[in-house]
Amino acid sequence: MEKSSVIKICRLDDKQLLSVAAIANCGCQKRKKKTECNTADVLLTKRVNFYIETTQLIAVCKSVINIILNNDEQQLQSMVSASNSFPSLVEQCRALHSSHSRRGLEEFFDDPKNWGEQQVKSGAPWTAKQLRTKSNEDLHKLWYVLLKEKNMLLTLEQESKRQAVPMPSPERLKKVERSMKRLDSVVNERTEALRLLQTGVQNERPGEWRKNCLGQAIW
Amino acid sequence: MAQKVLYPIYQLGNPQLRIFRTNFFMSLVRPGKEQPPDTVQFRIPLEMTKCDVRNYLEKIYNVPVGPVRTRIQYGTNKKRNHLNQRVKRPDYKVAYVQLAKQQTFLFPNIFPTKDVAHEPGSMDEIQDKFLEDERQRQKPDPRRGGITDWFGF
Repeated sequence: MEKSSVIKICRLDDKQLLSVAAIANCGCQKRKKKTECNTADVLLTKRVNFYIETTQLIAVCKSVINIILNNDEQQLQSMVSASNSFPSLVEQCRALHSSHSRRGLEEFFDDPKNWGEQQVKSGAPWTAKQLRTKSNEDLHKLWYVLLKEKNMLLTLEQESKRQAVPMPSPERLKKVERSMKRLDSVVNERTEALRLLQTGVQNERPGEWRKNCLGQAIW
Repeated sequence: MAQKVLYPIYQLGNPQLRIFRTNFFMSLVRPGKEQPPDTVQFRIPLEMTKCDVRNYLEKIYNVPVGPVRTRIQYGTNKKRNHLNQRVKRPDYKVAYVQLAKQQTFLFPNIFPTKDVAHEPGSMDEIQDKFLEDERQRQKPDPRRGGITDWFGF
């Protein structure tokens, strides 16, 4: 019973949590309610701390990005001096770096550690359910990541045929192809939903159902 | 641009056609004939053009590209399968891309032979030892100084 009450409290909104905590402060005698109020208090404080930390982090990240873009040394020094009040966050932000990778044609080949291996480990393909949680920018970037991976695997396949050597882990190609197909389907779902909501039109391009010479119905 | 996509017909005044998320896949291949050091050879889809290749490499791979030349390689229809039917090997387009800014590219050896040291007592080690013994037996007697067995003595 106690576990279910704790779970219920965790799912509460911030305002509801506040009300529960207020009830706690009134001083209820029953044991069950006391535990509930204790958990509500703990949760509230945790959430408040989390909000404070995230806002601080966001502010620090914004200032860091400004400094990098504007190349301002004075601003950096002022920020460093101001950061002495909460050193942990800034030390975390110093690990950030926004450099572009300039690898060029090396991206057509795998990591040199994997050259000559019989098997290369790879993870599971992306599922449509996972992809639906991602934003459009993320999906766009993921498409190009998968594209580069597929190019690398195709070069590996061709070179292995040339050298008469078995290709290490050919299932990677299938995984990438399936991920790309699912990504495409998710993006098409979104565009179709948007088009239906905005215009109410079923088909992307205007036309009509016609039968071609083979007897197939084509838009 | 993309493969197997129906492009809308262009009429004067239409906006620039843009296709996000290309369908084109390029594979780097080792050149069959000796090429100059700044030339890279790719196998590309038949629908791709020289401009497409240049934009693809510059935008996605950040590679400075000079002149690009393409040709279509016909895949033979001569081979026959077990039912004596002719089997067509697919056609493909080959692109010879010259790198700008005096860069050179050498196709690396992707399958180097690695000396794998097996743990002592494992099945692989026993197999390797057995193969070594067999090879030793096939070699001629080293005390003969390289002379063949044909000569008596």
